[in-house]
Amino acid sequence: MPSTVNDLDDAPGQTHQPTAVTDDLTLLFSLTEQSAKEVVGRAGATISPEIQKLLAKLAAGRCTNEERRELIRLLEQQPDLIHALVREIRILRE
Amino acid sequence: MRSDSTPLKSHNTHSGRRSPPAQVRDDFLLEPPDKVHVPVKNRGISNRSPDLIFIKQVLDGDESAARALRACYSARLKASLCKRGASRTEAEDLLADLWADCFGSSGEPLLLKYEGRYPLSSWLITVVTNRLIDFKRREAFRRELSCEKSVRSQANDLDRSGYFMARQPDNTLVALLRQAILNAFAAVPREMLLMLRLVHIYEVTQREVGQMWNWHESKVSRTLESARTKIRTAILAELHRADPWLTLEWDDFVELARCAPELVSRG
Repeated sequence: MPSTVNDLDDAPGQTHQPTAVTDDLTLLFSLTEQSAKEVVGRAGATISPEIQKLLAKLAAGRCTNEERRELIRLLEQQPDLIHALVREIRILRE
Repeated sequence: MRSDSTPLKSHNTHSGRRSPPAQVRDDFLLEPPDKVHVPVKNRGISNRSPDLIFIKQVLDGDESAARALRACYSARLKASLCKRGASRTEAEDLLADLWADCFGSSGEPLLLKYEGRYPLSSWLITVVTNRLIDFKRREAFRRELSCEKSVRSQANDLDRSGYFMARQPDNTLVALLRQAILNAFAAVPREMLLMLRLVHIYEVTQREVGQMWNWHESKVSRTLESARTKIRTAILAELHRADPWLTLEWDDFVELARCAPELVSRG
């Protein structure tokens, strides 16, 4: 099953509580994420500071189109990076 | 894979959400796989499920409950099977097998696998649809085999049929559904897929997605809705391509997708 943003560390003082979207699309993702996990297996990985910086830029909407395209391609290749991106998004909610 | 425990035996599945250890942001460390948590709302057996209590009565040998089970669901399941592409005879045969297996005519009662997470009707239709797909595929293979008989030795035929004709495990349906979803996702631009993933899995708001792409929220909303529609259409088309006889509407698909993984996880 997929993780949710709630699995990430809560930012201190967070007040924003988005409504959970639990619909058919969520179900589709859960089925495929499960499948990917079985096939690929997963391991913790380290993100380079450069990538981390770019993810923060993407979350803040400061990426150029080319940077965004490159990051999205990278996120497709390394799906675990999405956790770091979501963490950046949550930091911005503070 | 088969679990050692049965869902109807008491064991605690509500162990509560584990809190991941705090991580320093600057560590840049991704969470390892064993820290991927399933939301509490999506796991565990609901021991208060009326359907589960009912099934427990059936398994405890309550004959009136067993009769009620068949009386309540036979017509509905048969109608669903026929609507999905079974002939009347096929539906009746599949149902006869289903009830026999439910009550354990050939081993452990199938009903032991019911965990009460979903309505019993959804679980039964998922089980029997899985069997229908498996049956139709084996029938197609049998026909193909008979066409090949003129060019193959009988011994080879027997070898092949011994391997292929046995009923497949309960993952036929899951594999079909997953492949249809993956193919549909593959047809969506990766940018849109990321947006959908952020919104649907990680509960990122459309406003936040808009901020990332420098789009107005309404543009995000329109884009995502269009992508969702394309995905739904593509999935149904993919299912039809894989098994042209199978007739599913979107709600049918959702019901199956919800229940089918449980078939696999319970073996």
